[in-house]
Amino acid sequence: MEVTGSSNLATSYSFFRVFTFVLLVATIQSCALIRPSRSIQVINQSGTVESVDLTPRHYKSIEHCEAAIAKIPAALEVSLKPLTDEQRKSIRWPSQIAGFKVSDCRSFKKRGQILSVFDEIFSSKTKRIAFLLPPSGGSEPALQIILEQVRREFRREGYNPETAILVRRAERTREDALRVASQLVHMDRVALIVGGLSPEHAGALNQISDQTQTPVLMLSANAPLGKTIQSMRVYPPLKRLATKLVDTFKAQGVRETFVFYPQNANLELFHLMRGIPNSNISYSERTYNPEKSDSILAAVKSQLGRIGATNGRPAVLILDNFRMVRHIVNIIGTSLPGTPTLFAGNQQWRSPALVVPRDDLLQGAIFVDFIGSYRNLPDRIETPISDNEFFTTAQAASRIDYQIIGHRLASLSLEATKFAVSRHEVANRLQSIRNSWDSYFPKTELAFDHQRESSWPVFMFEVSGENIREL
Amino acid sequence: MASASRHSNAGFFTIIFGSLVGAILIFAAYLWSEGVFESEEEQLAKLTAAIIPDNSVVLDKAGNKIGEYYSFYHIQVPLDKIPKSMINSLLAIEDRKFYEHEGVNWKSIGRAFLSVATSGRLKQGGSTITMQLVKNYLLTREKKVSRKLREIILAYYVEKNLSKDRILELYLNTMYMGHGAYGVGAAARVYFAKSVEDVSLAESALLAGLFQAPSLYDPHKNPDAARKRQRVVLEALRDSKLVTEDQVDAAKKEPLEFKPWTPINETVAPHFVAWIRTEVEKILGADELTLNDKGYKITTTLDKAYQEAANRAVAENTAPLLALQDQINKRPKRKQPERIESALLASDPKTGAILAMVGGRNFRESQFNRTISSKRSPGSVFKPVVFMLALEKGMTWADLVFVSPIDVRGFRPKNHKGEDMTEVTLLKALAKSMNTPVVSLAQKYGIKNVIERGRAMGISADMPTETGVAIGGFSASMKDVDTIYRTLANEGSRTESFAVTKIEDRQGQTLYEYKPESNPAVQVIPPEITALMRSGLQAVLTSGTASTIAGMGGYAAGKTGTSDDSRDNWFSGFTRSIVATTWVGGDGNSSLGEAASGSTLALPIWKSFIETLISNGLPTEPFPIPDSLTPVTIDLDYGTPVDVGVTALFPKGRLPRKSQAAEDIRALKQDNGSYRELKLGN
Repeated sequence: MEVTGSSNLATSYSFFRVFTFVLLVATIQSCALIRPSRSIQVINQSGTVESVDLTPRHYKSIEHCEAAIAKIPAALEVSLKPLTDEQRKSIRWPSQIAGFKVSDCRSFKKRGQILSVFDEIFSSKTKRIAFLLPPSGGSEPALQIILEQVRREFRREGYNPETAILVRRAERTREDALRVASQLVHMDRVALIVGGLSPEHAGALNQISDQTQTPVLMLSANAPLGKTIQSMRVYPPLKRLATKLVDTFKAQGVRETFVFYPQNANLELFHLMRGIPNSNISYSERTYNPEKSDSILAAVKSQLGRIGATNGRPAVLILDNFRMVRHIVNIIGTSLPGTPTLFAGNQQWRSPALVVPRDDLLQGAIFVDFIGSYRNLPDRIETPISDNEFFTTAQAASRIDYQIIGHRLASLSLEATKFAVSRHEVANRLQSIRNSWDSYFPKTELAFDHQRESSWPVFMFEVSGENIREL
Repeated sequence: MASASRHSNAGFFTIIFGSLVGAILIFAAYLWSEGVFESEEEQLAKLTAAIIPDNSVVLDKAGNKIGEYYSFYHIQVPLDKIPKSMINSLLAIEDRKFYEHEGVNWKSIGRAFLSVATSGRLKQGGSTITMQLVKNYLLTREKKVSRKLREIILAYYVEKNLSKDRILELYLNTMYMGHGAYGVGAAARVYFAKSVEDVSLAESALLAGLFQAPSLYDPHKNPDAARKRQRVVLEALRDSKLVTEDQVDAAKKEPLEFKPWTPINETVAPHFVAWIRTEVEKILGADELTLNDKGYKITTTLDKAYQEAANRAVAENTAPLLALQDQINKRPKRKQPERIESALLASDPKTGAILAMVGGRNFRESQFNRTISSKRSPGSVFKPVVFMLALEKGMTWADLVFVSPIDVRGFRPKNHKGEDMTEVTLLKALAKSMNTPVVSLAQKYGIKNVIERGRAMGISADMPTETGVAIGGFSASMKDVDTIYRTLANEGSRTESFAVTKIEDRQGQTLYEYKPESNPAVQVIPPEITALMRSGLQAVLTSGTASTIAGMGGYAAGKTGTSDDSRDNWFSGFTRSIVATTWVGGDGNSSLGEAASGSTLALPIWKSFIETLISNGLPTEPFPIPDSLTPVTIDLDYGTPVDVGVTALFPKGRLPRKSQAAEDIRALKQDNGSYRELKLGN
């Protein structure tokens, strides 16, 4: 019995010891959590390097830890695979990465370590953005205009563009793009990556986005977006332009559209038009070599019979510049004078040379554009002053297109990273912000629509006399 | 017996007498039947009222003879203009007693009958000048006694009715003298290429020797025989003492120079002279025979100096054509030989008067008049009609046009290499003679309007309602083309071309006189549009297809033309005082090859012609500029005003200015056309 009494006392003592131990452990653990033992080097808003303590944010979530565990090796593999031993040694990886297992998430202590490492790898408190670009090529002049605009706008907001905007080149292979992107994520700690100018680059960026939750902004019209919300496109609104054209065709009773475009043309607009369901418009397309007049004539000539025989009003969609438009209209008009053809096109039509000297055949012709009046452009874009608000110089017009893209990129980047502390949050913010801060874009709309396409204004113009007017 | 004998003698005499009377009656009946005793009145009237045949002459505007129409070549010369040596030579060799007999020299007749009696044939005529004239004028050339008797009778009556001088004048002006010439005036021209008034004694003797047998003594065919015959005449002169011994000796020593005769119809303006015949016939309703030998004086608009310049210009530029002709005729599978020809037509812009006409490079080889009778494709020389329509519709020279490849129902006009898919000013399209912009403009403004305008400006030929008309795809004469440019040179007023100003008969009576009011200038194009067009055509010279004569651009304007495969090669141009059109092509319509063009073949002829005229004093004053227009120097490619460029006229209200449209085109070309393509990546 005595044993029993002793036993109770012993039991009470044991309980106290355990409680004390647990309390001690908890205290120690709490101390460990409250006073992190690690910090990383980051670049602040001014572009200067500073040390930031790691603060695990998801230590209470076992599931989150497990998800992190699953992604860490893949991210490391991506980054490490192409590296040489020498390069690997030089990398300052967090020491705790290796050897983690999913079961470690059950351990309170290890879970904290794991999530700390995860945040170190996948989060960024920087404002730094990166451009992942192919080697210099045909798009280089346009890219330089975009970069120049982004830098200008970052500088205006107080950033040092040299450190806040990274530009990295990668070969046109998925592997090389992955390698460079991984470096941008893991080493340079960028908040988002702009790129996707080739299918390989787009694929690599989508992969890195998916694996590291890094926001990527695709600059290409036809680069496929990744599955995750972090993958978005900043490019003029081809789908809206396509819809606008098709709607106008329908309104004007067009049933048959004859499409002419040069070899190697950007056909995304046309593809989108053709993909619009229930339009009841048939398309007949011809391509030509813009360098060879016979090729152009042959393309047009092959359709002349059908254009002339079309019931109702035929539409001729010319996806080429205003100069070629004038030639093609000239060919059609000379061969089929009097045919009530609706000529239509895109922003490439926009020039005084489209309407001066006047061509009767082009009266009533329409084209879509993502720029309205050149007087209403964002104030950070310099525009040559013209008597006519709808025209600027040809040199300026091409530049302005890319400047607007650059402006959109800079504007979105700055707005999204204004309050965000992690890449994930940057992505979330990009998805949720509205255009209200940037008056040029549709104010009430989200910056990206549900298909993660950047929202842009759309304009339709009509040729009228020796001018154009906005419809 | 005696009585029987008497009776017998009486019967014999009766028979003889009866036979004689019978014979006389039979002979008289024969002579009657041969017409020996026909009325002289009617016959003599032919001579007494005879008008010596004379060529109808064609004169240039200054009265210089440039041609003549005749069935038999005559040059009528009054007796008092015929040298004494000529008359003496004739009298010495043909009829020394001319001024002594009364038409018949019985001694000579007796010799003639003697020769008939001895030989049975009439070997020598024994005819006086009067008898020869009678024979030539009134009788046949058969050698019959009855004809001779008739000749004697008529000669007698002629002498009674005409003076000796008139008989001599008729004789000297009408007798055939070989080589197609009738009379000493024509013969002097044919054999010595001079007027009979200028022939020497030696030459007169030679000419006088021809009356007996013109063909036998034809100096061109038988010079030795002619010289021998001349000696005979000179000896006759000596014998008759009509000249001195010394004169005869001197004449014998004088070398005779027979100059080949080229009829004036073949020298000065042969195609023109041939054409004028039809023009006169149109005016008078005359046929060829009545116009010939009528002695009409036909005054024309032709300027002999201009014509000579035209002849020279064509001749100077013939060598390359012959070389080209050889080259073409050596082409394999060629069946018919090709003949490369050239032609020139010049007219007065104010009046329409034709000033010079060369219908071909060699009249003797080809009498076909290519300025009037030939209808060829005018090619690009017609283009100004289309450009004028564009200017009328409001375009200016600085406006851009698009040089697109086009195909209108299978008609595929071509441009020069490198011109397709370019943009140029309207001025450059004209200056460089581009094809497709013209077709586009014509389609834009209507082919029917183009045709209507072409007709108004001077095209009389049929023009099909087809697109090809815009670039000269039809047939027209040089005269029509010349009329178009004359209208341009004449402030848009069209005048019909004409060449005959006056026709007088040989008595000086005016049969026709050109009245300017019958050919009123019709304003078919507004003067301002014409001035605009003219300035464009000056740019053709200063900066276009005729830039080899850029130096003339200040005072001349024009347009080259080359039809398909260079079959027809033209240049038509004008100054303020003359319009000229030149053409080169094959009579067989062959392609002249890629190197041939209006610039290379027709323009040099025009250049030579105008340069000669200028050196002879043709004014080189600039064209007038209407108050409403002003000259502006523009960039030929983009139409913007520049300091150094091409000058053309513009309406003051629509002056060219720096054009953003043009600048955009320029920028686009430099940017490889990737304008706003937004091609980021691939």
